[in-house]
Amino acid sequence: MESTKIISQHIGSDLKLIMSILEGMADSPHFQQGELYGDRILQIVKDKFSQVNDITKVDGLFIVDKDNIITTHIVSEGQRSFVNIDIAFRDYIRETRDTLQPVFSDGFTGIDGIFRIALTVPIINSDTGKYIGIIGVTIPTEPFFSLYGNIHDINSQFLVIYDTKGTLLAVGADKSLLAKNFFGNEVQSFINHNPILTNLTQKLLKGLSGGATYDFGRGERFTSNYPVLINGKPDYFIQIVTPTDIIYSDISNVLFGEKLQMFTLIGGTVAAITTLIMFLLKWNIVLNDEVKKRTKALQESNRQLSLSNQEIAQANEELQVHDKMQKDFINVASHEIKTPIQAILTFSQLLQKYPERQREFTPAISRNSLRLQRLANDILDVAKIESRTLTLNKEIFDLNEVISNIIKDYNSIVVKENYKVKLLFYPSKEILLVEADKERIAGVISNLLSNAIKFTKNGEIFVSSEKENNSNNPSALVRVQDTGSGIDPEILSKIFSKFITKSFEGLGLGLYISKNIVETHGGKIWAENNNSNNNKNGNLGAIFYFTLPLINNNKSSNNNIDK
Amino acid sequence: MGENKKILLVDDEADIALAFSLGLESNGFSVDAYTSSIKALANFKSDFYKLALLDIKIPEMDGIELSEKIREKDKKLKICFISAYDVDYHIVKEYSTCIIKKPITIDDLVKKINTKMQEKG
Repeated sequence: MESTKIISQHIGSDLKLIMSILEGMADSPHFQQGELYGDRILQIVKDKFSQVNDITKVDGLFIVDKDNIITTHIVSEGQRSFVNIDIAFRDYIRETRDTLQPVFSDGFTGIDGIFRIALTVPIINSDTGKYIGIIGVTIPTEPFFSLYGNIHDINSQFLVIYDTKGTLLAVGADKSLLAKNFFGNEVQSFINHNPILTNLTQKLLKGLSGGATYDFGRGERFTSNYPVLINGKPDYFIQIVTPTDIIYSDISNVLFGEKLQMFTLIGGTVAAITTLIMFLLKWNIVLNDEVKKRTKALQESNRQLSLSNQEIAQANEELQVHDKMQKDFINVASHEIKTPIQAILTFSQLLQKYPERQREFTPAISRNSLRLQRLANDILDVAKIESRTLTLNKEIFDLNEVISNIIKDYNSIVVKENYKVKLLFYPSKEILLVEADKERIAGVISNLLSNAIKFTKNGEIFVSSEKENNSNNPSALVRVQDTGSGIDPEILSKIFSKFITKSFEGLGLGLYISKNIVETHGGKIWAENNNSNNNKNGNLGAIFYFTLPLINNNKSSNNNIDK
Repeated sequence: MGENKKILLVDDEADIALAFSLGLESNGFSVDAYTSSIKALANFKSDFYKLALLDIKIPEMDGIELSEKIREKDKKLKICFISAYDVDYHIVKEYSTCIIKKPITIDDLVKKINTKMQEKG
């Protein structure tokens, strides 16, 4: 019953929608002005025809003038168009004109034999109330009603549609019954004059809904009624005829559906429980993950703590190393200070006792005084480096000249002290002009030379200089190569650090100071052992290098002019 | 026969070795001075020196090691250590209780040496 009502409402609403489009046309300015034909009207009618066809199956849209003559007629493909034909013979035209109301017509058979209904609206000038004509559509009943249900197969549930007169607009029972009246002989004999169905249909045509079960010899059927109400008025009527075996099978289907629902419910419950279990498992996994994560974090934290402990231990160890280094430094410094003091003290006492031996004793006093001075200077330099107060008195000079002078001084010392070393200098071809603290750079060269002499008891010391052009900022490269014992691999990597020495004399500050001086000038200093076994003693020897930035040509030429 | 006042002096600092030699000789001692412990050991004569004055920090072989070696050759030799370093007395006193710190005046050095020489045994 409910489905019958729904179908009827659906049909009613579609028809009403079509009617409202027609009413809209009738109210439009062109039609209101009596313009019922011509290209412009044709276009409007075509557009509206297309619009109505989007809603349902309509096979013609026509305009009729006040004299019942068709002025414009658009039809579906394959249909005939009728223009300039008097259509007054159609009941719906007369009814529309007479009532001046929209009309949902009863069924009628067209010239082409197709059974149709028509929807029409009068065109009335809204100002004057003057009747202008009619706009209408024709709808072939079979394709139209088939949109709402089965009207072809008698053995399954089917639709029967009636007009107000009881004419069958669509019928699923038998196609030959289309356009026949229910109360006529053909239909009545088809239904074997079944009183139940007849009674039911009579009630329907009176606008009553309802249903009944009957059998007119083609199997038991249940039919439900419902009128198609448009604006509250029944214009068409629907019956849905259902073979009862279908209903039973439907019941069975319903039962099956119920079972299915039960299974679905059980399935759903199982699924819900499964989901819950899955969720719990998942949650368990999440919790486990979280526990693992936290444990890992804890382990990480412990590791960090252990690391921190290690770091503290390491720092402590470093501190102890530092402490030991400091003690060692104090011890070495103590030795380095006390030794020349001892010499000065003893020689000065001897000088008092043996004044005639002045020439013998005073050089020793001077020598040891100078040693003390050097020591004091080194300690002061380190203090300046570490407090970043080392200042440079820069001037422009030729590095080769400075090296050459230092070599001369050392050669005289070598001769005087009877050292068995030979000092050789290979200067660069070019002048190496640098802007630097001459005294400090000389100190660096002296330090490298004195180290080389100290560790080369018998051999040669080569000093060379060259201009390095392998970068945008040319620099001077000085190389001091000895044929001594080489640098102990144990200290090679830290040879420019403080207190690193293999000598029994000195504090191990010289190379540290040299490195800082070179780097303060923008240069680099490094050392390596000579790997080429080319000296006559078989000693590999050490090579010390340092670089100093060369001044650019403009600067040097200006400086030369000034000088 | 006069008292044995022969001293073996080993100090790697040549100026110190010379200065102490002169200072001690001016006080009646006879001194053989070396700047190398190896050479000192090589030239060591048993029952010749009354006392050895040894610097502790010497390259090649330090004064303590040298003292052991020469003691093996001369059990009666008295030994004094002298150093400009801070000496670890706990270690050094195992070898000799005569430990002299630099700098020291000639007079004080002579006093210390005499004291050690007059020790019995």
